[in-house]
Amino acid sequence: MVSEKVYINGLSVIAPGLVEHDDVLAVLLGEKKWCPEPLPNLVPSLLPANERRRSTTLIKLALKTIQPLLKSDDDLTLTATVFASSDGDLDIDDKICRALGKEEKIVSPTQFHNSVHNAAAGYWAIAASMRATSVSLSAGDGTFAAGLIDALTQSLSEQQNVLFVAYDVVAPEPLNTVRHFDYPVGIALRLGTTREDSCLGMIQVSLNDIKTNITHCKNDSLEPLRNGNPIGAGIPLLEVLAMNSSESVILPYIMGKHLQVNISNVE
Amino acid sequence: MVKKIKPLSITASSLVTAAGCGKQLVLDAIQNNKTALRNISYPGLNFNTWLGKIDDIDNVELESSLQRYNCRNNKLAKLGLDTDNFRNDINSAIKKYDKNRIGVFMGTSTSGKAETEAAYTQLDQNNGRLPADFNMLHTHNIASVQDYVQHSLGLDGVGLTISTACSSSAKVFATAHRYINAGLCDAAIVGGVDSLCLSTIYGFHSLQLVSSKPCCPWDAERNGISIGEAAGFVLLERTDETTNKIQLRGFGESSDAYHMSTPHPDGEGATIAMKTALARSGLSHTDIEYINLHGTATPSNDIAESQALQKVFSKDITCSSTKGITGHTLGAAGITEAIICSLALENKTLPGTVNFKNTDLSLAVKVLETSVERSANNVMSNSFGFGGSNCSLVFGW
Repeated sequence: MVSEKVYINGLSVIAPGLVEHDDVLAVLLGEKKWCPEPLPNLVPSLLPANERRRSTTLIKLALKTIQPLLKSDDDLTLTATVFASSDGDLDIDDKICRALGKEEKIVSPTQFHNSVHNAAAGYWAIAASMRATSVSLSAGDGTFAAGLIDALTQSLSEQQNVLFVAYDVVAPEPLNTVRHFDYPVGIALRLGTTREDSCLGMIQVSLNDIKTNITHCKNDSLEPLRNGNPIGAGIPLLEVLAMNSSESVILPYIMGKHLQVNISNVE
Repeated sequence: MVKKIKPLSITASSLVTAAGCGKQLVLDAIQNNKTALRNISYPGLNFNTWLGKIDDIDNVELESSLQRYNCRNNKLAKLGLDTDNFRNDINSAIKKYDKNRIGVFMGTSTSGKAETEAAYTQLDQNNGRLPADFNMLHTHNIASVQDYVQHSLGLDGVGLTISTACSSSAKVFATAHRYINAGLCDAAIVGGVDSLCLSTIYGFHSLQLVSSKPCCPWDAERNGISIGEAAGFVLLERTDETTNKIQLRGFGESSDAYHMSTPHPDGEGATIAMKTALARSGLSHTDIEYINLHGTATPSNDIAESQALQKVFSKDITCSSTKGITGHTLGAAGITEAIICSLALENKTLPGTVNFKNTDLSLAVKVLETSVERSANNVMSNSFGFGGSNCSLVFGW
């Protein structure tokens, strides 16, 4: 149990059918059914044109998901970030492994530097002139909860704002057969130790053993999204935050453990 | 502004590098100024290079109940756990803290990616599918190494894997400190495991960053890295629980915000990391008696690091790069060099820069060429990675 609480001062999600803010809110509030539609080409406007050209679908998903959480008076150079992805850039893995399977084994330098797990963080640093602490992590199917915990510890340790983004895309074949996700999902949260006008609630976390049940989506139509990608696990938390409700949600973590997130309405 | 931290003590550690299994063999190499790099072949390698390869990995068998994790990287992890009495030390720690109160924070750059590379050479000719027995989640996935380590040691507390290229297993120290402070665990195993794979060898080769000779950090004729592999583990406990142990006294993390694969030319990000680590340790720059450099031996990395050092320390700071011994162990470089720092303190031996011959006049900061017997109280270790991810650590006693 972490005794201190942090504020969630903003949320953002991008997934098929969840791109425009109004749609996202209506679906999270249960006012609309979730209807998956193919994601449009995502263009993170903060990224300089050169870097945008070199970046990948995964990197664009991560950056585009964070962007709505920025505020005009943010000093992004000093804002810590957590980038959480279970599997990283599976498109790049596919391309590099195919290149290595050929006789001459020629790997593209750009694909190689995009293959590091912290590629999205590196592009974000360039886009936002970010010089602060930035962690890129994975915890397999427990990645969303692990990223949330990490963001919380960073916020508490320095009493600071943290931008947390979790993201995974669908693998191309043949990787899709061995590591299958139904949908790409990006979720971002703005954490801080001070309450902002945009505050959606306060959270407090503790680890539970396997006996507790994972929280399902209130909006039943979102269940395929929750189950369709390790990052989708975070959707029930977003629903409670969007409703400004005071509840607990149970998220999958590692080693068969679950993360209990207690959300309290601060209005 | 960052505040001084409560130190954590290093109460157990293990290290496997190309110099051999165990800290003593790395120390021997340091004291004898000997490289462990070899001009050898590796399956699938079609150009000439020097590698810091660990032959003992081939003899490792994972536990029968953990076969799903079978890959070069997790075999190397097991080799590390079974070295330097580390597994027994963790069993004692489990009795002290309980298995769910010891966190596991691992760093790696490529995890078991070699398995995927191998699987792609066996694609089904008819349907293009990967072999049926290929287990991507438990081998290639970045977190596979932490998952394996937790299962192998019988731990079920908090954990994650950090993958920020060559700073990965330095940053785990900072993460462990934050988790212990937040009350999420009472002790932490931090580690790094990175094993040879074709993606990194050919990837660095495509950037013309792989040397055709044994890497020679800080040398006027340096022309790139020699890729190595390593596994290292450290047990961190609150300092009030222990006495006379080497402590993690500070950490500093930063981002370059400059380029994906080239460091900031003036070492701006590196400067922030070093200054932040000093601030957290409560020490002055004059208190640091030795720095284990990132010192990869690429022309631009060493210049950037020298520039950064000048901004934080005097140009007479004592420092060296040990990558001429181990090679650049990438995601395991942070832990490897953190443990080398602890060996330097314990054995009153400051490492030299193996393979260094010719002074580069463009580098204002000079390195120790050969190891010296000298006691020190506070030292620093630098790790800088792709994506501009920087981490500096301060250790002392």
